[in-house]
Amino acid sequence: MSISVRDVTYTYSGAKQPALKNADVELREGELTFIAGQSGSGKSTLIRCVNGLIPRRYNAGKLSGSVWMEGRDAARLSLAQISRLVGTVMQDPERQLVSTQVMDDIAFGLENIGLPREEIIARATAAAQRLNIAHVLERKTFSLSGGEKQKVAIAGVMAMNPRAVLLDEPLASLDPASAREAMQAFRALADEGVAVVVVEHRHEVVLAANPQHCIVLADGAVAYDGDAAGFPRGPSPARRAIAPANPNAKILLDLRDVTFAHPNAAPTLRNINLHIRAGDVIALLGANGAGKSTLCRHFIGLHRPASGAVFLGDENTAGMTIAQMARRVGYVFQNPGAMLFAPTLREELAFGPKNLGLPADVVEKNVLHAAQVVGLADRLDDSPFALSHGQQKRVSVACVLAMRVPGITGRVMALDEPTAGQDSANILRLMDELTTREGFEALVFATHDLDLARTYANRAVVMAEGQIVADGEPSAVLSDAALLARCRLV
Amino acid sequence: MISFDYTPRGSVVERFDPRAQLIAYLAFTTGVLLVSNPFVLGGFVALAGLVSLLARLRWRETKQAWLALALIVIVFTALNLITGRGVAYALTNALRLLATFLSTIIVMRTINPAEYGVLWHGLGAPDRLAYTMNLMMRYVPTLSRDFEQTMDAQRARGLELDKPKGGILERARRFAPLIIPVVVRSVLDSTDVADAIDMRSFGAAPHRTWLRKLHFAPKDIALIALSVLFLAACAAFTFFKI
Repeated sequence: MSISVRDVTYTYSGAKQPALKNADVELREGELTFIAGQSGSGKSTLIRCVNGLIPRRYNAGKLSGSVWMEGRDAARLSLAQISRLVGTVMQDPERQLVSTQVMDDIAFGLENIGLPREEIIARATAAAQRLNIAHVLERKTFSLSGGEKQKVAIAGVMAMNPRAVLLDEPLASLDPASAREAMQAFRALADEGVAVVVVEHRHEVVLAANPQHCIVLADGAVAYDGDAAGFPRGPSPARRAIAPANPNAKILLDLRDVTFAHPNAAPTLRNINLHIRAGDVIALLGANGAGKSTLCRHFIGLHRPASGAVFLGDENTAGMTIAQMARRVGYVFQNPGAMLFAPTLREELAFGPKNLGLPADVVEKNVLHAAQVVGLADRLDDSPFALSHGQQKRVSVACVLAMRVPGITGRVMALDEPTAGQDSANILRLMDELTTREGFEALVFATHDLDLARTYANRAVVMAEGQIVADGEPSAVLSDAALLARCRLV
Repeated sequence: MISFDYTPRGSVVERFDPRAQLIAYLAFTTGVLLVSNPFVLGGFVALAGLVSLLARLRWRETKQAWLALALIVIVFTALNLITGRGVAYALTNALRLLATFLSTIIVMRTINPAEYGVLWHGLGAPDRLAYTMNLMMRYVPTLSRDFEQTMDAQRARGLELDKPKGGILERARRFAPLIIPVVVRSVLDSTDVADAIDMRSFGAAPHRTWLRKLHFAPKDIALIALSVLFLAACAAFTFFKI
């Protein structure tokens, strides 16, 4: 089944500009179609027009043009009819899983169309086997890893035997090896005759799976529609001029023989020795589940070592609260949505320094400075919720920058997965701001993006199965092909 | 406080059909509300205690609920005594609270959350309402995870939760940064969840199939009959002073 999007323009209710302008695209069966574009370029809107959410659920906006599938105008089909033809896998699988148990979740769509039980069980089991998740069928959805959740979401869609599958940023949280495997699975699906559409920021991984059809959106309009050979690849970012790490510089944060385990589980960190020194820009690399986040959480006391110790300078942090450690360590979480609460950006940024008990004039100075560093000084009176996702990410960095305490030096900044769900322009901008190291002396960013490490880091630390397996010059560490393959980083 | 974290433990209680369990629970809690004789209520507490043993509830997993319950019972009893309502009244209410909480904990720990939807469907609720019950169970852990993430994020911004200072007002003020992000996120997410459900053909067929099947066994019928008798006895005891 091919889907024709004909001259579709859509303006969200309350918006001045259309989010999608005169889009004319064909999504053909048996083809892997790649849709690229910066955040806000109209990718999600295009997906919503195809899967029928526009105009059925987003009915307050203005729509013109038409979408045709199986020779019929989709406007005449109900959402339930479209959903049997077109399966959608949403960006965050956590929100897509509707059942507490895996089998029930995969079976959900089949139950809804009223199939007999035996057929539901057969089809759900087959879909699970196909995605290699038959062993988790009896597990609770909540206990799954991010990658497993995504596979369950895909299996739920596949069990419906859709003619087209739309995948919205399916690779956002996968390490390079898992992302490659996922793309191979999507490729195989297209080869079986399904129209597969992948919306992604990670161009190289998708292009490696040989999509027959590439579409680039810019400002709501189709800027490129053609084959992969003509896809407008941007230049790789140039390596930034960052001074090399100095192995004799002062140690700011010191993890000594740290081991950590969640209750009733095998250790997730084993014998970690990591000395973070002034001037370090560390890329903390590792596959999904290697222990990167768990390690970062020790920097600020969100996890405490089961054995070993974390030192800030020469002070053991065992007796310090998280709030006390926050004076010396800044921690930027993956999802800015977890922290934003204030009515204005100014108040949001002032929250941290006020908690630290800084005097009002210092708070004001810090807030202004932090907003300037991330380029949001003109938005100080706006609500943080009115900002785009990329801007919110920068707010979360500014919140940490604003917590600079006069007289305290040697601050360390840690970022957990700064790239997740961000487009390349946003990532580069954020990292360029951070590597100026305004207000802190060492930066650690956890990522599985090797390019980011090559561009910005002066030290690469690689983790696998809860241990540090390499620590050194990025050029040396990242040229060790065997190591990268073993750690699922290529 | 009360966790929905269900783990199958193969107890006698779990072997009953969840519909029968729910009916027994409703009959029991209604009975507890009707009766005000402290001796009878004492018997009900003992009965609930016996069932919790049969359900193999462990101290470790219900500890927090017990502590919270103890606190509530103490506060209410103290209030009742202070306001001069007498020892008998205070005792009756304390026993009522105990019996209700105890039976609620048992139900939450012994009914598989995956069966809430089909349970309500089996009791005659329309599919949409029945599935809403399922979704509630599904998103409780997500909500609690969101809350933990927010707590961590605000602690990292220097919010002191480990060694709180200040009076009650000051402490209450600290909750805004914890509650607002969680509420905003759940409101935004609820749109996504609604989209997800629609995109998976919810409501497509006039009668959806329920993968899980419930079977009334003779013991379930017996339990329902006992529950009805129990309720009738409580009503008779209260209204006709038998």
